[in-house]
Amino acid sequence: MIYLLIGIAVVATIVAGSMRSRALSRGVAIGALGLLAAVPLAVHDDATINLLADAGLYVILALGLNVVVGFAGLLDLGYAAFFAIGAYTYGMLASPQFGIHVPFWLLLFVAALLAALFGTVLGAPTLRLRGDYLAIVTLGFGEIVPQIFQNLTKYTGGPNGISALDIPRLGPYSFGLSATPYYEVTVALVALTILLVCNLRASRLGRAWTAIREDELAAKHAGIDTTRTKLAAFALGASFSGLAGVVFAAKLSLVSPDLFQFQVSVLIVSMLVLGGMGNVAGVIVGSLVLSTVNEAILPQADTLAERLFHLRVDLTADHYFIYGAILVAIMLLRPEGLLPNRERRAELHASADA
Amino acid sequence: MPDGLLVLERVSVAFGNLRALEHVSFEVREGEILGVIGPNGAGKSTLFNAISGVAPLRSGAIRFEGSRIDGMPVHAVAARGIARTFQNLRLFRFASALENVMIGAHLRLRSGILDALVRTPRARREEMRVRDEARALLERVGLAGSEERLAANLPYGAQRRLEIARALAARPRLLLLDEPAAGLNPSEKAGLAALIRRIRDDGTTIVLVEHDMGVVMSLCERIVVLDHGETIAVGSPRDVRADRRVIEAYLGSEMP
Amino acid sequence: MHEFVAQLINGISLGAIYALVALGYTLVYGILELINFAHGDVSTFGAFVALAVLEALGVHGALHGITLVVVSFLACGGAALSCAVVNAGIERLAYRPLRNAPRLAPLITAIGVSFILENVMQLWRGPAPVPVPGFFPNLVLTAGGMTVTLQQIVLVGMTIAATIVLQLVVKRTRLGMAMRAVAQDREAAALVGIDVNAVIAATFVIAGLLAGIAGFASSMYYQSTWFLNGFDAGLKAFTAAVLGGIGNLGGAVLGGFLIGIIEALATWQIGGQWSNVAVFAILVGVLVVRPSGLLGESVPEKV
Repeated sequence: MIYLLIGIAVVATIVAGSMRSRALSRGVAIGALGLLAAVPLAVHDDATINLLADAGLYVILALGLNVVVGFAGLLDLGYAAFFAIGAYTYGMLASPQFGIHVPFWLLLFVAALLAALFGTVLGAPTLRLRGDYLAIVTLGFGEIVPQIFQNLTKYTGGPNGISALDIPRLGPYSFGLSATPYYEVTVALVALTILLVCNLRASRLGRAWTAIREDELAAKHAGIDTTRTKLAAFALGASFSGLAGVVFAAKLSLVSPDLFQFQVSVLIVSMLVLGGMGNVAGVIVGSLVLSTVNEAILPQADTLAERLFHLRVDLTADHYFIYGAILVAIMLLRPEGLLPNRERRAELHASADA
Repeated sequence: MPDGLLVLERVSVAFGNLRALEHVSFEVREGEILGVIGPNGAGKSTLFNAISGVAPLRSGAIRFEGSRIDGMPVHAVAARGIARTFQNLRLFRFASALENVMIGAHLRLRSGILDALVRTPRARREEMRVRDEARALLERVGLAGSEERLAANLPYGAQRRLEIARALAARPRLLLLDEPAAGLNPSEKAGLAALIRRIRDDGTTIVLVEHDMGVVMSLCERIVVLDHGETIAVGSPRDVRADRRVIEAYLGSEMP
Repeated sequence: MHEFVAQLINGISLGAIYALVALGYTLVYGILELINFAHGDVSTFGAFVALAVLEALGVHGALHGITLVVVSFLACGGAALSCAVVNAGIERLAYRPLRNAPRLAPLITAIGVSFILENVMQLWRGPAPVPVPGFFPNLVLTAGGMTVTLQQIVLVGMTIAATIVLQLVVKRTRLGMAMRAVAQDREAAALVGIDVNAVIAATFVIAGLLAGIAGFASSMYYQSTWFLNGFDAGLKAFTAAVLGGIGNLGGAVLGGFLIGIIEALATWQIGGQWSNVAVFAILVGVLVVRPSGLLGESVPEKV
């Protein structure tokens, strides 16, 4: 069932992405999102809804990272850090930890702003660095943030994290224990993210990012303040991650450092690489596919392998082999990803032929 | 005190021990087409790099419209109204021709982050305006049908013109053209010269670095001659052509 | 004061290992401008191979005299050679096809390779840290109240020796000259007749040898190894390379020792769980204040 729903989402995305007319594209997207929002009416399996919600969160994360990596061309390998910041914001401000109980809806804003703030703080000194250096610094940041959360036990619950987080309420209704309300919020946020990201891409700021990505010196000569513009990409990208973090924490009712390790950052980068960096539709497809693989297929891979190939294997340990192999394979065979925009395909193949 | 649009006062630029420019002084008068010539390695591109803010000055000053611009970051110099093209072309190769020009118009827009996120009416109006202006510019440089083509896919001559269109999109007061005729065939060169004249007639002051003497002599009212980083002559084409130092500098290279 | 010196010695030993790894990093970066993410993992692979050699030789406890020397050579050599092969293989299969691609491509591939290596090692020896028999005798040297173990001396000695040999290769051999030429301007080097592919392959081989030696050293010193060691060590070694000036061999060694000392002192003063944070803070600080590192030269951008 989950595969069917994800499949529909993927197809809808591809169709919407390939429409020439903006209005048609929008129509397909709205239709698909509406359909997805109505799914809990037909599907009553809470586990499936939960998986779909997770997939939605990954879509938001991937779209956010796409702003940084795909639009502005900045190498960010520590994106999970902002996810953690968003999640821990909820964990610390809506739980028994300090006895503070800020409402879920307000925390969505707060976390987005906080993540953007941290993005700015991290970016300000480092965005002048060359691409690979920036990658390492962001990698380091992605390593350090969960460590800091793990070390400050008094505030963050240390290695065990914080549990029993507040259950969100909407007016008199509590979200309760089912995944459905979180799912609906996620669908709404996905819609919002797609809208905002597409707006960004077609704006003066989006063009400035393209310029910086292509030729930073020429961009400066066109009057673009490259440092400020890159910072904007970083901060905006981070804010989406913070947003997703709040929903994630609330749904899980738990935050702990081991949920935000380097592997998460790499997973999201893989989604971009697989789907086609820079292309909104491609990124959505990439994130849907990989999150399904990650959450639905891999846990069952052992049983699948046994049934199909009569192999006794323990594939849970080999997640990362698979991601590693995917990354290498894509880079060697089809670096522009599954659904590139034509600019990116030209860019990657021109240099290959050079 | 020289009162030109752009004034260089004893400008020196050095890279380590290499003295690229030594005490270069001259002015660019508003509304003129000023040529900068000199044998290879004379420092012509370094001159542009110094003006646009890429190369820091070791000493001296550069004034634009009376105030100093040396030491300012590149994007700030551009914001003052100076645009340039590059010797080796620096287009946004994998963006369309139209996008290239629209990016060039960056300074003429006001939309910020919020406008970008939410597509305010102001943002929408500006977008339409910028798009129309970019189309008009492409037409002006003779690239009317190529809007959607990727810059990398345009023929070389068209790419040169695209870079000029991009520079013009900012409506600069001063335009620096770095060897715009390089690699063009004679008819393209004639078209380029006509275009440059039109740009000046529309109100933009132009400084032109060129190797092609035909283009320089026909277009420029005044010429600055550089050799080994120093100015060795400034004057009208006729005066410069007859200047002994200029002739000596070119001996062994192409004669003007 | 006594404790401070002890920690200093500890840090220098730590740093010796980082220095060896950093040398490999900086070598590859100097010639390709590529951060080989997988380098740290290759080094850990070397540790695994060293362990396998020790087990094959039936080593259980401390050895002495000739046996010690022979066993060390075999384990170290095995590690170095296998890493050289693996490194060269990675270059040939995963990086060379992407030599002209935008920077992001080989970087991502390197991450993929890193994951694959880590997983292979996890499959080989399991997810938990694996003990390595302590085959070095526990000889200590005491002077003025300070103690230095034989291991620490050998470790630092190995690093210094490797650095000297490397400098000789780079400065005095034809290969070294070719490497420097390719590092400066790949196209020009090709035009002059240098086989760029071969030179790059040789660089990776040398970097692999260094990584293997580092792996052997690490397994010998810590008497344990773990499939995830490489990631952590790789990050720190890269920090060391940057601190010293990326592309600069002496800088890598200097940086390695500095990072080792800083880590030891930080662990001593503020606790081990903050040492990574401290190292990272240094990385950011160096890159912001002096990106060319301590010994590097700043290269102006060409227009």
